[in-house]
Amino acid sequence: MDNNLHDDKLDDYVRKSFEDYEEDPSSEMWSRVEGDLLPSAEAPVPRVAFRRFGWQAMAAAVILLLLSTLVCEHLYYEEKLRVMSGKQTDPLTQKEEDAGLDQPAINPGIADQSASGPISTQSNEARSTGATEKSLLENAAGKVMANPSGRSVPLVRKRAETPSQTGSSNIVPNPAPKTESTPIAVQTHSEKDFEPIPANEVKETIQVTSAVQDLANLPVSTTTLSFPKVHFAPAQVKLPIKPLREASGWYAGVQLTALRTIEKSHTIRPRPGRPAFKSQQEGNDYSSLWWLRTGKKLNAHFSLETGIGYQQTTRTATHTPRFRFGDGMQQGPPFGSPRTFSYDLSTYGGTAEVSLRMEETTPGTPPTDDEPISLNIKTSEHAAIVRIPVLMGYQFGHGRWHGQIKAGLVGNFMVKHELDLAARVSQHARLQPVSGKDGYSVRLEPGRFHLGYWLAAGAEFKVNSRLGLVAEPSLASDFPHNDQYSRRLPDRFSVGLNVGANYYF
Amino acid sequence: MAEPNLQACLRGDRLAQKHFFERFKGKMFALCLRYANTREDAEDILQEGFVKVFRDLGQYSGVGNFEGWVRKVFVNTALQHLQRQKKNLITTELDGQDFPDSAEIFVSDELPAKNMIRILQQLPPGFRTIFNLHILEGYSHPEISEILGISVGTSKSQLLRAKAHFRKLLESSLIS
Repeated sequence: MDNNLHDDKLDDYVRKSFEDYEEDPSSEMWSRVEGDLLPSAEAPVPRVAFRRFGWQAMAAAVILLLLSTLVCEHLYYEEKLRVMSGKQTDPLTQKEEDAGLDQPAINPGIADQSASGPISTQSNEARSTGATEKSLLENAAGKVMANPSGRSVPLVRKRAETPSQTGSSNIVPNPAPKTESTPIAVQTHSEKDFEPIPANEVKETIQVTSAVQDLANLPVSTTTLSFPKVHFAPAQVKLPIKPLREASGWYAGVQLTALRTIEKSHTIRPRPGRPAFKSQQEGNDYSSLWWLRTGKKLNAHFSLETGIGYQQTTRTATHTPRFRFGDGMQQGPPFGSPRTFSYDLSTYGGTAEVSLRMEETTPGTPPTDDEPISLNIKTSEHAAIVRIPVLMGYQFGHGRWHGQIKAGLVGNFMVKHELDLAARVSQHARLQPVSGKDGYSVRLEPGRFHLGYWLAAGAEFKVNSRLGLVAEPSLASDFPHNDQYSRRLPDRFSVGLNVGANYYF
Repeated sequence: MAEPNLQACLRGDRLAQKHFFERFKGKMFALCLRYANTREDAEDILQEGFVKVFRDLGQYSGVGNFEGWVRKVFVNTALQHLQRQKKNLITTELDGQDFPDSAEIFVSDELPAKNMIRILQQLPPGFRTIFNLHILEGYSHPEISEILGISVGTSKSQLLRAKAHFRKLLESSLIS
């Protein structure tokens, strides 16, 4: 109880001590807060909206462009196929017409009846004399055109086949000894060569007069028959779809990834006698990443992919180093000489060792050693990174569209890393940074390697058996990595859209 | 001092925001000092806190004490700042912490609050946080357990240890 009472008294004592207690921060605090607030001029909604949806608009434009290309290509190939199919039937029709095959095609029974006598010279002769002949067409038609329904059905020639396949002979013998006409070679066709077309497709009729010598010694009769003219129906084109060679499963492609990077920075632990500050990413970081990729399909669904990528990125960031005046190392005479303030700065590419030179604005009494100094510094960091991915892919779907999911590791090699202190503004009235390149020096860690991961899910459109177009939203990040003093570097997460084309070998 | 115009602050009116800043800077900086390790850290928290207040001003429903809402934003900012400095700082330091040597207490004729802030800043951050939340902000143990992600029992036991540590430091200060 006593202890509780004692505690209560302590609580009251503390509360009363802090009651209405106020303490003013440093005089530059408002300017620091103001610096973190968006300028009023930048507040208008349209600009904010544009910034917010900038990368989405870019992604939408790329997708729209890709879809338009696919639709145009689809229409183009459809038209081309249509033209090709037309061209493939036309020569056939033309050839047959040129060869005078219209009539045999109409009534192939003539070929079978050729044994009773030649039809060529004599029929022409008879026709020219106007003699009446008994046509064999009647008989022939009775044989060929009969169908189970008992109606006459016009026939149309099927797709051309070789004579050996049909089993019919091209040479018609001339068994009639009483004629002196010379037998001629006539291309004949069997029933198998023809297929019926519906009667309602027959639109006009023609008159054909044919003269056939039935028997050498009998009077020649002439018969005029009326029967429908049959048009050749265009043969249905069935292109042989056979791969010239088996697909190897290997593919290679060029891809471009548009990325937006978001950063999470960490406070870094100072080394003895050397302060450390973190830099805070400013604004959006957009970059593009070019890939040369190759892969192999392991089976119908899974594939393994690797390649090489090159990314250039610029990171703009701010930081606010704070010192005491006494922290500065004086170089030169005791009064009026610039002082160098050194500190560690965490950046994307590693920890930078920065030395900053400050000089007095007006000669006079220097600040005391305890006097606080702070600066607002804007940095611009340029990095070039070579990325090597190893990704496992899963593909599904059939036809031209395939969905695909990819995941794997990415090794990142920083091949170029530069840091500029783009702007340095002192918060102290009597001290200012030395202007120009002499005002600071930066020492960066050598090129670093760090590991990351890559996730992507999207679609591939197969233009043909060789070419595929890829579009896949992707997410990438680095695994946590440290600087040379085991201090955590900023984590970066990237979202973007990967587009490109693959060629299948 | 006249009350700041919240609507104007919300619109981004810089004059109104500065008026708001002047109105609350003293109280909020005192709060930040109680949570922070150093004065520089407190200034960082203050800066971040004001930016958050201006950004989230639209979320204030108008119900309840406005100053209480502002204070809550600053307390949250301070806690986040401490956690960023060292992940799981609060929970790890609460487990089996030895009291540090209190010989370095700075004694002066300053105001008691200012002196007490110096003592508070010598407490380990974990103790300091629970001490502040319970005694000065008035949070209950269940609320503290929810905020810090610890059990109610841990909150109670650590508060007792924090008080004992604080009392020891205070007595040393008064004796000197």
